[in-house]
Amino acid sequence: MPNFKFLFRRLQALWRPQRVHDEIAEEFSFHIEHRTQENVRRGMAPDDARREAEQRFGHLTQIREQGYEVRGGGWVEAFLKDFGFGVRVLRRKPAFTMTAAITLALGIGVNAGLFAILESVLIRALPYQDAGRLFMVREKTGPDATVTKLSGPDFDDIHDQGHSLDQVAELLPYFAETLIGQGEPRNVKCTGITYDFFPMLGMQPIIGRLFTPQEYHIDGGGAVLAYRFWKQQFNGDPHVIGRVIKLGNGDVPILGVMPDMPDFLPETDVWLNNVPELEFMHWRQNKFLSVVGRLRPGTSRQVAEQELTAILRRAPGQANVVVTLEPLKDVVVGNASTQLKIAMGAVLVVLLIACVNMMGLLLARASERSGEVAMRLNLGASPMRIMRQFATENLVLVSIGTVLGLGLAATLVRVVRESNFGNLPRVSGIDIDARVFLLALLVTLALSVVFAWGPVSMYSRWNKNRAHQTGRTVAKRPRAFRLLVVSEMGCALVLLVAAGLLLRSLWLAEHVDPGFAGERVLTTYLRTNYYEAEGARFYDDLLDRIGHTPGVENVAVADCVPGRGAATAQIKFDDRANDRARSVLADGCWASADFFKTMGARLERGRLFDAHDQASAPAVVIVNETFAREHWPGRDPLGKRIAVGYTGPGRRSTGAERLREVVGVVADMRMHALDVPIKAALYMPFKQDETYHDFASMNLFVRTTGNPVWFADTLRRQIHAVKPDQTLGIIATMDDVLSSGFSQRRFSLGLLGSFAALALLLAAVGLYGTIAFSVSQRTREMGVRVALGATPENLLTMIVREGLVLAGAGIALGICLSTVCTRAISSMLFKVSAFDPLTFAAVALVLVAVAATASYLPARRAASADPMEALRAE
Amino acid sequence: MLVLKSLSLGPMHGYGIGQRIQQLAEDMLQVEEGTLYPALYRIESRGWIESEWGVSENNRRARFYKLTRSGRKQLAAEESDWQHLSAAINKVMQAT
Repeated sequence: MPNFKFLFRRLQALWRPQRVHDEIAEEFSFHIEHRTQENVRRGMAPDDARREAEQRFGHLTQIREQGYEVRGGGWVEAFLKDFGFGVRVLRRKPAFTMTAAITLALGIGVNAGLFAILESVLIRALPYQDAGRLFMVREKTGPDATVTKLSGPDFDDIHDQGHSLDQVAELLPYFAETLIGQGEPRNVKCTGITYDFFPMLGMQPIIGRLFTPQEYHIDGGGAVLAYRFWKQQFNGDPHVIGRVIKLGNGDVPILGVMPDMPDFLPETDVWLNNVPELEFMHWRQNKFLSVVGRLRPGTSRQVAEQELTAILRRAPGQANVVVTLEPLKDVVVGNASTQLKIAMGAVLVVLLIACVNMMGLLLARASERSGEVAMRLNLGASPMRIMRQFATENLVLVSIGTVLGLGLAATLVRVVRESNFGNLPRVSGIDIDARVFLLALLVTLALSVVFAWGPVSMYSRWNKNRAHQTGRTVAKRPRAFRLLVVSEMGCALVLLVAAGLLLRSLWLAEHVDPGFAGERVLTTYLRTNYYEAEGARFYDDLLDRIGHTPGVENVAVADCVPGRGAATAQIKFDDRANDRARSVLADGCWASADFFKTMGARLERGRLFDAHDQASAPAVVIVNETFAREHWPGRDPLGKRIAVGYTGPGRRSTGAERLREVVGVVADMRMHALDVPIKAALYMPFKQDETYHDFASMNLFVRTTGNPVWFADTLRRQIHAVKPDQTLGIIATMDDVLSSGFSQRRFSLGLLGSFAALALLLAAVGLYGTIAFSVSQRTREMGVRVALGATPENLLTMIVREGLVLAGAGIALGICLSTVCTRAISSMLFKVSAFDPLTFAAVALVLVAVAATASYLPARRAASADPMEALRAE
Repeated sequence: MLVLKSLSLGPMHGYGIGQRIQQLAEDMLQVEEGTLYPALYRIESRGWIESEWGVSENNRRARFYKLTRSGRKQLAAEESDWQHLSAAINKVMQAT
């Protein structure tokens, strides 16, 4: 039965314990006085009366104590007393307190920070209605189970025939359109959606409305603005609804504005409708649509996959299709998941090292305080009471560490959120929420108890009497310390090896030969909206004008960006049977005549494109060496004929497949990031796209004679001189393009590297502490040694050797652990084995050097001490 | 139970409770008077009695205890328990 009034009074007792004492005393004295009066009334002498009354009352102090136990602050008060005592003890030893608190703050800080990131990015549900049932629908085809998106007919089949999905919507994420007439002409990022996409997520526009089913069928039926774009481009104008904007070649009315959506497709500026009537929406093999569906309640993912697979297999040529459903959250998170989990593992190791360090510090302090504890144990304090006091003292320490750590975590989180150097998804939602706080609190409490257990278990093994008699530790060389330091060194080595492997991977990846010379090449993205033959004139003018600008060596356009990516082309040969189910794929690229010269690619055989490769000329193609080797091994590829079907974004199709003659072979260029293996690639004259769709967007490449950065402004002016309202993408050098392909690698390396450095620092501090402590405990021994003729060098060697032995054991342990742990990062390695001996050796050397330094410092102090002083110190 | 019973007659201070118990028990029960107080505090912590400062019959500040509603219930329950128990014991004793 909770008695709140009484509890409240006990709480009050925490503030004013004296008042409770006074009340009890007053009550007792009232009693005794009353009894005395009574006795006097019965005829006793006043003195006797008082004595008799006190006797009848009993043992006053004891009863008072018993009374206070019930009415006073109880264990809370004891706790507060210990807490206060802890604070005083810590304030008396600022060096110890600082070291311990900073160690803990680092350990807790990186953990809380990373957990906050992990929690916000990986764990937190998407902010949509019933988000757990949203899935991305994908297809797997072919013998190697290539994962593809869906085509328009696929979507229609699933939409009309499927029962396992409640709702299903298709998306065409991230295509560029030009926005003209709203300030500077610019490119905007559009995402095409079906009209029921937002209702499926349970989202409503903040102003205006969504597409009606009728508008949905009209090309340019309307635009729904994303929140951020509305704020940037229209300054959050509430009267924007109904205004008509010029997107691409069309005039589109603004229908509504969506709320901020930082999770899914966060870079979208404008939401447009996918128009099901457009031609390319009817090609079964044009798999370019992302499809998101909501699983019907009570239906399992497997059942739905089977049903949808059965539906799509009914379509011609899709007998081997397999439909897979991937939780939408997994799609959003992508490969950040592995990265963050590995980083989390790394910071847990850092925390472990920090704790081990703390334990070492506390053990050292505990043996200094052994006299005090032995005294208390002899005076009858229970080991439990001492444990409780230690736990409380640690709580003070751990609390300081936690508060500092949370501050550090907040900084870490802010840096990651604002710089987003790792391209993390959902980054704007990262914060330190109640869950992180609670976890930090739990860890704090757990650590306090664990830290108390160490010293107490050390005490409990002592012979109380002996410790008390000598009044100090009997020069015991604590084995516990050594084990702690060895395990610390081992853990640090694991992290260092991981970071070393990543560093080597990055270095190797950065030094892959791209197959082109990009130092002096500028590139930018041109969205022109030319879908017809007239586009050729624009490009002729542009290439001519820029080509004649001083400072330009070569200029070209292409729809691919080497080092960043290329569309996929489907190939058919005329000299063999083509298996429909196993289509031959290659990187494909439409390029202008000087593309290879501009990029600095090497011609191996045949010829490059020239001014004669116009739309009306015979269709030609240039392949790379890999293509020639794979498809015509040992034969001359020149003169062979292939048909190329483009499977890039939906607007492209070669229509009728016409055969192209191979006129040249170029050396391999890296068409994707440098750490992606080379694939077969082919290049076609950009004017020989009979649909003219490649004119709509192209990348411009300019090889300059001087520093390309100085040319950027000139380039912008020259483009605008040809077409004043031409929008431009970012102007970057090809080196920037190559380097941006490594941002994920850099992020992983940055994280793991800094955690490894932290671990190394903490381990070094731990080793230093252990050696320093061991030296301080052996002052007398040192004195004796010197007195017996040991030189300072002897002492120095002896102590440093002690540190190196520990480090050696740690390295051995760490190498064993590493062989197990580095497997976790094997997917992130490039051209380097998880057991790379060079990395292991280098890291071990670093650790030995650090260990030598960490033990040299205390050793030098010991060796330089005056022997007489050392002896007298006892 | 004795404390609750003695307070059922009205609020009283510690000394008075001791006296009353002695009277009620007709001096058959004698305890160290001081031990009454921790017992009082414990009963109070259960919520069966309340205390506040008041003025005693001889005009001194004294702490008065009084029965709460739940205390009254508890007293009734304990009384009936006790009667059951003593009745049972009586029966056993009479049987022999």
